[in-house]
Amino acid sequence: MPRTRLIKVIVAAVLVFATIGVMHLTAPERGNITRTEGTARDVLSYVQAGATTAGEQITRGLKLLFSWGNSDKIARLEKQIRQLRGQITVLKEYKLENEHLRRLLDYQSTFGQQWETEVAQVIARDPGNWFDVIRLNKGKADGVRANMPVVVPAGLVGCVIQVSEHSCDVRLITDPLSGVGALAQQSRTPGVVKGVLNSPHRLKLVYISKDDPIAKFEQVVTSGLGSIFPKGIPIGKIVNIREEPSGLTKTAEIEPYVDFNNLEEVIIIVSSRPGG
Amino acid sequence: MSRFSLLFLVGIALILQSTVLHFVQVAGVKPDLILVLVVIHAILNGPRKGAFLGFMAGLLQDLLTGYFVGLNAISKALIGGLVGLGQYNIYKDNVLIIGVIGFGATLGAEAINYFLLLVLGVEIALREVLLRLLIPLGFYNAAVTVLVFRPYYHHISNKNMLRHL
Repeated sequence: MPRTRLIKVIVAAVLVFATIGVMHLTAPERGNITRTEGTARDVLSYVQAGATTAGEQITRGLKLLFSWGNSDKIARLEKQIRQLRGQITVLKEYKLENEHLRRLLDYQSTFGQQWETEVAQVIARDPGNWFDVIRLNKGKADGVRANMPVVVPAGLVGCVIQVSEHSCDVRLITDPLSGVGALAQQSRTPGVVKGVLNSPHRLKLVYISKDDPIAKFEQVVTSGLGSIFPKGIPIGKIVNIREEPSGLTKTAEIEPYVDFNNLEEVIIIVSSRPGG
Repeated sequence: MSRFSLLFLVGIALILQSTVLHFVQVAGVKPDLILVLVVIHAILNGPRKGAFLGFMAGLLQDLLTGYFVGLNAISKALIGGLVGLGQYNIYKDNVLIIGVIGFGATLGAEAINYFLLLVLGVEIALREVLLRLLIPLGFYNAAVTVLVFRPYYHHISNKNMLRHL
């Protein structure tokens, strides 16, 4: 091998190993990020928030467009009816948004005695396809810290993994790296809820002992073990149970209560009130 | 294409990927516009430029997410370099070939990511990766590569022709 080529190969190998080292140092669990990263992320989060809002508006607009129909030759009255239908769709959208915000408020006032909470808006998602991570518009300045649980009225969403001054990243429970201590509510069977890659409508409850009396349609809630998630937060219901090939454990498929594809506002549990 | 234009395109692709592309998911995946851009750039400009854009754009993507910094930089640089090796051998007017390259590049890039994640101790079942990521993303990226390549290629060709006039 010529000398220059050998040098190039060595340089490339060193670069690859150095990058793997950086990857290792920047694993998601590090919690706090550097000040430079934080500033860059906060600046970008404004652009992302704008783009997300634009995307939502476009989706809303398309819904309206489709409700109008696509023929130019329809009668005037028919057109008027379609226009009105379109308006109803928009009003329904506002109604749903209103109900959604009201539920968030109710949730806050109900659980406000137990937990101190902070409502945050989803401004971006992980640009790749490997991990289910969302970015929220609340950060250290709002009292948010790493490992805080995130919920919506329907159930558990995830936990904060990284925080900058004005934004934070939340790993959803659908992420394959996520693991939540949970139990089946009726049979009290413990296990760990894990995400399935790119499957927002499926979770799995693993490490269930073969002899545990777990049943279909049981509700799964957080067990409170592991110090991150408070006990009793709903996760989903069991839709299927199968034995593992080893024959020692079972795995249950869970249908989550939260619609992870349509998260707009979420609640961060900033702290538990003692005696609440 | 100037460096500034490329940086602008990468920036737009990153913002789209982290915001609105979530609304156009197919089979649970969204297209990887950065990879598509790297593949097209590599086909037209060769391995050196392909690898360089792959590394820089991948690094930007990693910095945006803030974890496993370097993951996409390595995979996209390698794929940019490999695809670029075929610069003079790829028949650029054949849509099918461009689609196959988009599909293969996606499989390659995600296989490298899978291997690197394994090295870092992140274990995801291979079956899940194949069925829920590699195959659907491969087809999605192939379709996007075909859609984007032609206008991009004609734009570059026209620009080069005007320069020679």
